[in-house]
Amino acid sequence: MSKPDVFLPSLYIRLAIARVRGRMRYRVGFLLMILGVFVANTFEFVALLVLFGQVRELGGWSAGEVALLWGMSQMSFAIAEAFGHGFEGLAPQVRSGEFDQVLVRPLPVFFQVFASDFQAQRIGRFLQGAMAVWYSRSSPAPIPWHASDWTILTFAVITGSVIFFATFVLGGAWALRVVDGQEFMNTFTYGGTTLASYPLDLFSDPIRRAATWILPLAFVNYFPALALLGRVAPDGILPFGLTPITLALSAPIVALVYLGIAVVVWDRSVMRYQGTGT
Amino acid sequence: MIVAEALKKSFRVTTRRTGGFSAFRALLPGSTSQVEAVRSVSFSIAAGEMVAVLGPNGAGKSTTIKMLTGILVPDSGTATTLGLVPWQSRRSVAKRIGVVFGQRTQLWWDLPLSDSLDLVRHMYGVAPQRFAENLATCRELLDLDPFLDRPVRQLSLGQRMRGDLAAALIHDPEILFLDEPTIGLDLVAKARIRDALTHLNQSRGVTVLLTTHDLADVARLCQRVLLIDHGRVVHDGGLEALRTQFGSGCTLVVDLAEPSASDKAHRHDAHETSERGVSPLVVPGATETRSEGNRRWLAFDRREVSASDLIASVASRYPLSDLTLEEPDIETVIAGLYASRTE
Amino acid sequence: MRVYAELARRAWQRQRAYGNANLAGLFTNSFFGYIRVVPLIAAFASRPDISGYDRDAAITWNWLVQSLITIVALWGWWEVALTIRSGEVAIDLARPIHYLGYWLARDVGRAAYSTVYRFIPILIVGQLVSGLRWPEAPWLTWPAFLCSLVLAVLTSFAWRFLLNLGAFWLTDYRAIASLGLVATTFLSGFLVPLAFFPPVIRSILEALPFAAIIQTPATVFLERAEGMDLTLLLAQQLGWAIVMLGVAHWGAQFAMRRVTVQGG
Ligand SMILES: Nc1ncnc2c1ncn2[C@@H]1O[C@H](COP(=O)(O)OP(=O)(O)OP(=O)(O)O)[C@@H](O)[C@H]1O
Ligand SMILES: [Mg+2]
Repeated sequence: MSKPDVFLPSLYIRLAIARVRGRMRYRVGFLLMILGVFVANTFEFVALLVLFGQVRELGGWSAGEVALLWGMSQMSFAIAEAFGHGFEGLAPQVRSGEFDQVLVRPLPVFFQVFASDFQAQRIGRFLQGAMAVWYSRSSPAPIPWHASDWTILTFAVITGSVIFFATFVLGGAWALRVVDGQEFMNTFTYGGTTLASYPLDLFSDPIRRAATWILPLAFVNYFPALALLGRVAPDGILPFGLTPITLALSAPIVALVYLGIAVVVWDRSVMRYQGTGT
Repeated sequence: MIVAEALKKSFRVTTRRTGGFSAFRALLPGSTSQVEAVRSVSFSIAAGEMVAVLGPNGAGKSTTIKMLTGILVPDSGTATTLGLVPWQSRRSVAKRIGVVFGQRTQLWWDLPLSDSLDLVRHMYGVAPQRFAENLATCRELLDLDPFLDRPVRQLSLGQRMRGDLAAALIHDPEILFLDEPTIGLDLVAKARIRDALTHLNQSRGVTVLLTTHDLADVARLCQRVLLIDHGRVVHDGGLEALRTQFGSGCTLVVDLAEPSASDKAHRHDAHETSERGVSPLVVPGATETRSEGNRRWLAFDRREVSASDLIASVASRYPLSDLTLEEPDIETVIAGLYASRTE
Repeated sequence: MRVYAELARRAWQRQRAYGNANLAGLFTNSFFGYIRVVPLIAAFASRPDISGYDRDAAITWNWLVQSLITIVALWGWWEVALTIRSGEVAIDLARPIHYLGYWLARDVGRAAYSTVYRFIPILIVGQLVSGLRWPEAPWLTWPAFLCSLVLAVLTSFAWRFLLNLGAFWLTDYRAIASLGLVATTFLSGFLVPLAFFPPVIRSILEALPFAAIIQTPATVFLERAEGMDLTLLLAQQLGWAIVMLGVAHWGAQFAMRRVTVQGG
């Protein structure tokens, strides 16, 4: 192997800073963008509250409980978007041939795409998600936070962001293969967060299974939320009859396996790209 | 340095369908076809050479460069760049070569050029000392100073191209691959890029492989030309040799001593007369293409009849007052080659 | 007039060229339609009626707004802003046709395409997935709905056009303009029917032009306004369409003066 004269983590930070600095050239626009992301998500959340203004519960879930699901999903997604946008925005680069530049640099292709577009403005979505989680603990009556709650929450948000990130990687792999395929991927990324914003037990069986075994959305927030809330899940929804706590704790393993699969698919797509040029 | 042997690359393209639900139909089999971008390309380039790849649009020049730089894997054939197979040792090769695609930029759009160059330095792991030296050389060679601190987005095409070239030089590449580095540039900008390349080649021994549509680039820079057509190398040698190989069609311009000399000499077989009522000169191995007063243009192929033989036989049949031999210029040769290709 | 018809036809054809993207969009809309309808159905488990919507009406509303959203292009439409940014606007202004009319014709062509290739397919998906409530008085409701749809396109066009004009003044117009559109999805009754809001907010929202973009066509389709109410509703929508187009026209004039005086 070539000598390790490039230290990737510090190069990542350098590229991320460059990215943010480029955006900060229009400071007002940048701040407005953060605000925009924040407000956009707030509207959706308020719409949910409007619905709850009319009904007390959705399939046995109270407003606060749905807000917890919603907030966790948003926080995870915000982190994933901030780090994974290079993969999400790949389709136009492949179309224009800009992606070729990546292949003539002496760095791993995955790393270069990963480091190409760090999006700090996603903090807007993260804050909104955090507010929803905070709301879930304070309405209608305040629920005290225990150390274990914090642990599960932190675990879940990080795990969830890995799962969403891996989905972006899969989307990027798809874009390398199918030139105008990006639009289909939106269904799984944005559709995925929306799906994860509602209790999974409301959905039909095939969707539930797909969200557990194919795109493991259930591990992003549903199982951890069950654990946090001490809720009992309906029959047949918990794999192998495991408890929500066990599932919440095993989520990191699921996320890593899923990420591993995504990276393998990505590598194959890069190789295939080198074979076909599209 | 660079060796290519029977490189072949074809692309599968989906024949695009339009209509509301074209996507459904595109999923059906039978809607793809093969484009043979590179059929069989072989050549070898020694260290320190400067080689131009010429060829009409769609000939396969860019595809060839993409295979030599490790961006694309060929269907068959082999290639080595710096002794390594580029698509197998992509990263090791990338460390030692510089690539510029004239149509695109590798610079960061919204950052000043200097920042972009600094990021490139970190991506290639160039030591600060060496970076400072190389940057100084580039600044002088490419005259970067006037726009070093401006965001790339605000640069003119020529400035951006110089910036891109600088970015490809930061890590002391042994080979430079340049795909149309002078596209869209004005004469001054072209001259500056050419001077820089000559300097790099002569003082540092950098090997250069470039594609271009500008023959002036070739004339100034390259001793050797690879002409690619239909995915094959059809000529490998000097620019002059290209003329002798393909520019064999010459014209002999003669001035007749008497206006109707041809009529007197060959009245009986004057079945065809030109618009002035004069019949064309009849000389074996040449055809008259134009006539104007006493002046006649005779086209001939050097491979069939030599100029001296032709002059002798014309002079033996017609009284001449003057003659000139016209050879085609290189532009015409290549234009003719490209045109004959589009049957 | 012919030139506008021709422009609209071209816009339709241009959409056809994006066949794959449209197909993907159809898929996305259907998926979102499903995700959104499930909680909505769950909401009706505990009570049969929310602000006058029963379960079937709410389901129909859900699929209807999913299919309307592309017709009125609330997910973003920045063509005018892009021409302003690239300077192409000068060419458009030099054409011997009405500037606003030029874009309106193109938008009508686009909307017509979306009606055939998005609106109808998504309603079919909705019917298959959860069943829809079709108009009980088709002879009255369908023509009224079509009128309402046209007015919705006009109103939304004028609003989007105004947001695009922001590019004349702001470098980063996209951030603000996107915000404008996101707000529109909320205020127009796309995220939740306006009827679900608390009474005071509801009456304010129903009086704003945004309701004319999504909520009004949905109300007409669901036959929630009849007789005089229907006439008034359509009249209000017509009023907004005229006012908004007027403002857009004035905005274009204003912006144009800026271009001609300051040279863009
Ligand atoms: N990624 C691709 N997918 C499909 N076809 C391709 C692809 N890249 C190139 N081709 C086709 O391969 C042929 C050769 O293309 P190439 O880009 O190598 O030509 P070129 O010699 O560089 O032409 P130009 O002078 O126009 O740059 C063309 O017919 C082109 O359409
Ligand atoms: Mg080319």
